[in-house]
Amino acid sequence: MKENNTLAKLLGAMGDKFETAYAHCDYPCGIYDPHLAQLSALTVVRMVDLMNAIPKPKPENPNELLDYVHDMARAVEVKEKHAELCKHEIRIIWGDFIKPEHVKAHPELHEIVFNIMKFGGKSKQEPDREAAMKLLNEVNKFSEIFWEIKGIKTKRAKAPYDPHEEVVYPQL
Amino acid sequence: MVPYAKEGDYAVSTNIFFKIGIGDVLVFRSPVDGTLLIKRVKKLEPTDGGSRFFMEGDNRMRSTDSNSFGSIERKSVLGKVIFIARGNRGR
Repeated sequence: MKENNTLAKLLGAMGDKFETAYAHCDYPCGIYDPHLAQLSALTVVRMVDLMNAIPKPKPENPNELLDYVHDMARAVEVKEKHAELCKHEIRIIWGDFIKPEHVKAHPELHEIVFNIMKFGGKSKQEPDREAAMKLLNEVNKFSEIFWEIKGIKTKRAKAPYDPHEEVVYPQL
Repeated sequence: MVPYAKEGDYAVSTNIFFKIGIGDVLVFRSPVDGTLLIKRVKKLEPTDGGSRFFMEGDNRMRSTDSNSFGSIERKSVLGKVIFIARGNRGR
């Protein structure tokens, strides 16, 4: 087991004749933070609020219908995207960062992740504010456990922007 | 597998060897999707017909290994790495 630069040059000169073997699925950056999952959950809540606030079109005005469909389509797309992003971010932390000893110390972790997947899915399926809030609440619980594992205290506070719902902040 | 192997290096392997032991670096097919992977044998798990191999990356941060896809069987192993040639392949 040794390095061999001459051989590497020789192999390089042979062009792309070798199959690539991967050591990682993700780049080993070691960066884990539930912040993006929290923002995504907040965005889902915000999109449901915006969808409810879009003025309903009057049947006699086709332009209003066009505006309504357009605005609604944009809000739905963002809601879908962020519900999925929230699930994705939690899956990464759960699968790559969380270890069996963490689950032993926090046996509720698996149920919280399960709930995030469930409410994330429901938030995609329906413009349901209650489901979106449950998603946010579960992500908050997950975040508190994550920071506790890291040995960092947290506090809950209302986000200083719409939808002004409570999120978990690490006290760095 | 940093620092043993970095992105762009050439892993020279052989499929002629007597046995696989703990600490050996293997090139093998992922049981999930058939991707070619390179990781180190962490544990041997005896079976009726031989052993299964529990594989881990040297760099545990975000390494997808036997902790997620379980141990691998002998027939998934393509070869044992005999040395790493530092290269810039794919960079």
